[in-house]
Amino acid sequence: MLFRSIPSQKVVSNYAKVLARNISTKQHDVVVIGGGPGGYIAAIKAAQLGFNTACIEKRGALGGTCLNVGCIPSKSLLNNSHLYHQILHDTEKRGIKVKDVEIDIAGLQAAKDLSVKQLTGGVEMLLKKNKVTYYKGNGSFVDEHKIKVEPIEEGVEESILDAKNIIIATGSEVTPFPGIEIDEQKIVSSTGILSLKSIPKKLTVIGGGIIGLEMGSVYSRLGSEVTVIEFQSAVGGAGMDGEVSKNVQKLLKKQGFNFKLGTKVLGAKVNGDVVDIEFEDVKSGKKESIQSDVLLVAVGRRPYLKGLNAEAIGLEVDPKNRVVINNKFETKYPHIQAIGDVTFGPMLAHKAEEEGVAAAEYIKTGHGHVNYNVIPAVMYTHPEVAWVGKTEEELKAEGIAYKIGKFPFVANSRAKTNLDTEGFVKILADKETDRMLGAHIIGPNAGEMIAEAGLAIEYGASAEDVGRVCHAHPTLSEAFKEGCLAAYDKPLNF
Amino acid sequence: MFSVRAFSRASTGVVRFQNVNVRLFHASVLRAAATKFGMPAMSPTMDKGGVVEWKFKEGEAYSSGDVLLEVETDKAQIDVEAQDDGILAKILLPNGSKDIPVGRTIAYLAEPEDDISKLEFPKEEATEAPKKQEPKKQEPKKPETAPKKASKPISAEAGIFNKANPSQTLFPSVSTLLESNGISKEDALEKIEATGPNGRLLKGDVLFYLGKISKESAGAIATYFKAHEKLDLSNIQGAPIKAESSDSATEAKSSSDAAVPAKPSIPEPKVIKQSFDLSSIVELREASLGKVKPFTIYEFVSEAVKKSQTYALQRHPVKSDFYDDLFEDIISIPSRVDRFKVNFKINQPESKVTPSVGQPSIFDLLTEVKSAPSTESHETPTVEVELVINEQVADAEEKAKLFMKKFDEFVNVT
Ligand SMILES: Cc1cc2nc3c(=O)[nH]c(=O)nc-3n(C[C@H](O)[C@H](O)[C@H](O)COP(=O)(O)OP(=O)(O)OC[C@H]3O[C@@H](n4cnc5c(N)ncnc54)[C@H](O)[C@@H]3O)c2cc1C
Repeated sequence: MLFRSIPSQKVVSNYAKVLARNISTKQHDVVVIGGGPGGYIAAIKAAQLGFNTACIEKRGALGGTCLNVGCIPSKSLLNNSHLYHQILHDTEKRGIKVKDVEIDIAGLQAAKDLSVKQLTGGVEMLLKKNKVTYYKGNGSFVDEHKIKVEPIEEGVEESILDAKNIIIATGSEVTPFPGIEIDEQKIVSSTGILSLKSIPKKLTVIGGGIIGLEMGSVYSRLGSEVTVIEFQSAVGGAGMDGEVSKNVQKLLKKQGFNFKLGTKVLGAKVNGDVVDIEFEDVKSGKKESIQSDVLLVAVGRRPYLKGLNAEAIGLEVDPKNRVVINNKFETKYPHIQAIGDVTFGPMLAHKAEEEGVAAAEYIKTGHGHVNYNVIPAVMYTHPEVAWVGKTEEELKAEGIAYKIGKFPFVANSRAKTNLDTEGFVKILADKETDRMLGAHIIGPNAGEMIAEAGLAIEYGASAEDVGRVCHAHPTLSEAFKEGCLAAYDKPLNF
Repeated sequence: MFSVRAFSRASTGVVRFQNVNVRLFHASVLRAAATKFGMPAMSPTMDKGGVVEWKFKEGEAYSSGDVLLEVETDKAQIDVEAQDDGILAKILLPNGSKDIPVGRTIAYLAEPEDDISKLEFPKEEATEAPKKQEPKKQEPKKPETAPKKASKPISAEAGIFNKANPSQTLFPSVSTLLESNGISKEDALEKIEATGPNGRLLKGDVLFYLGKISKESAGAIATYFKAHEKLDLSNIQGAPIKAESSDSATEAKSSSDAAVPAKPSIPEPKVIKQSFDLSSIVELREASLGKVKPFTIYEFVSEAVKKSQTYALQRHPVKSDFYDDLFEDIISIPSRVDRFKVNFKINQPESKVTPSVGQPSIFDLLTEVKSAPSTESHETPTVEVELVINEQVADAEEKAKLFMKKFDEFVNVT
């Protein structure tokens, strides 16, 4: 018989291999540990400022939590599940008849994986373009200037990096729920929920924060019966304005979410094909239980320092394991900085990026800019929820007198034409000076609209300043302008 | 009044700094009094500097815009520009003085019309606290109605009220207020103190200037923003990190997102099979006889397999003008990774077995020529190609399809 097997061609070993094999100790001006949004941006910026820079990442792909198991894959699922849901439920009143709509979960996952692959690859290209040396491996401290890289690829030797400056950007990991074991099949974390192979009939979510509500939305749209159990009495997490949070809960409830607020989870166990979840009402102490096909544990994230051997240099952390820094991101060693999820402040990708740029600038010039007054937050449900600046609760606590300007999307012409009118814009401005203090939006495209509020607050603009800017008609952004008008004068279209 | 502007020579843009040191004294005393000129802070982090060179001699008059002296910091040498006219009354620290703390008096300045021979020099305190020496809010209360005389600005409240940045574009609220109150832009920038970022005049600043709101209102909100600009890192209980405890080891399972993903078990391989008609190759062989080195069907197929494989591995499946091959090379899985294995089997009608070694006999060739056009289906030589796909690699199936496409082109030359 003429059967023969021809092996695929072997191509020269890659760049990292060659590099690591030939050089065991390598000098760098700046070594960044972690290739997430904080780390890779810091590395690019440092290289652009003229430093000989290296970035160490052990995941095998750049982009960190955000690109691999966070922002990007979750947004892919959110966007496509929304599309499906719309085709299924929201076409007829628009005069579109669609037959036989079907969800192909494998296809949905493939679309997500493609986006992730392209974006993480794009980051690798950016590092190359900016001449950042990329080490694929685990970085750990030998002493306060030396970092050992244990490569993840076979056949590559260890190397030691001798660094003048070090930026720790090792990010965060899922906070486990005491007593509940995550198997990523039936009991999943935010990572496992992103790649379920089938749509659970019943999905229970512990934690009514942004991640829980986003992932709950995805599966609710795909047909799961979603129950959210939250210890606090409000959804959306601590940063969300109280009024906004109440409205979000109402809207999601309308979409089919069940909420159990003020409820404490006691435990959960896999029982054959289902998960048994036990919980009790915080006030009454009444115990209940629920069965679910999949349980998502989304109770937050915590700094990640494993494998870093930070003990070797006595790096300081607070009781929540956040790396202690000063306002220049310096740890107790001025040449070692920490940025992003691994240290203080909101755990958001854009916050990590801003800090990455600032950290590199501090090394170069001694100055850097991150304004923590203006870190926007977005929840990508439908409608989206976005805010920047202060909430009413924060202003009350600080004793600051404020005015409120509100404008509902029902009164916005574009929202009306789009048949997508849920939500409102709410502007908070200083009572006396009219300076914009905060903006809170529930509505279609809120996440894009919030940029305008960020710009206004960064520059110290008053509500009037935005109200006097010409906005295109008919756009959703007119609602933002009207909200500002409402804060200092009167809205025109409501 | 004095204020000093500095620009860095290195950059093209003019960088202005709020000068906090110079407005301590002004000519409000009975006799003309000299003004202390403190070591200017050229950046927020500068705490010491040196005098490189005074550009004026004692007693010389300078005008607004003149470079008064050159200052050096650990990062750069910077010209310090005067914003008003005046006289360099006395130099305290000469050229070449180094390590001067920011705020330490380095010279006395006088107003253009002052007679310096009669000038009163204030006593220099032995240890002068630089920068933050400004007293608290205890300003003499002004009548709220009349716009305050702004030619002598109220001392900055911990950097909250600052000289307005003269090169700003005014906010619409600000220009509207100014216009409706008959104040020119120039006047406003000169007289109204700014609480916005980088000396930006805000609506509240104008409202305060117009006496419509109190200074406290204008200052409070700016103070509030300033306080929240930085992360609140007070009251942090830091302790050296502990070695990874045993509980973190058990939790490692739940943190698969941060850890290196475990290798998934190898799935059953997927196989793609296709059979190709080789009659056109037989024809080709005839036609090319004498023109090229003679070849056997087997040799041809092997070569086609190799070429198709190279093609499939190098080629990106999507073709588009917006497709960047370089970019795609970086993001795709390296071509050395096995996508699929190729197995093939050639079926030839008994009569026409082509020896796999040596050259065909003339008989072989003759019979083939005759039979080729009239070949019946079961007599057509074919090749069965089987691709065993490595499903661990995301693009393996795509590549396998590309292989089949190319292979088909090779064996169907017509
Ligand atoms: C489901 C989900 C959705 C999210 N959605 C959003 C969103 O919509 N918007 C948003 O702003 N944020 C979102 N986030 C948060 C966002 O992902 C994080 O804030 C962001 O990734 C933090 O960036 P980082 O660079 O600090 O850390 P990470 O992104 O966690 O990156 C750290 C990297 O360092 C690597 N590393 C760790 N230790 C070592 C070591 N010793 N050696 C080498 N490498 C190491 C890790 O492998 C990791 O890749 C989401 C998070 C999740 C989980």
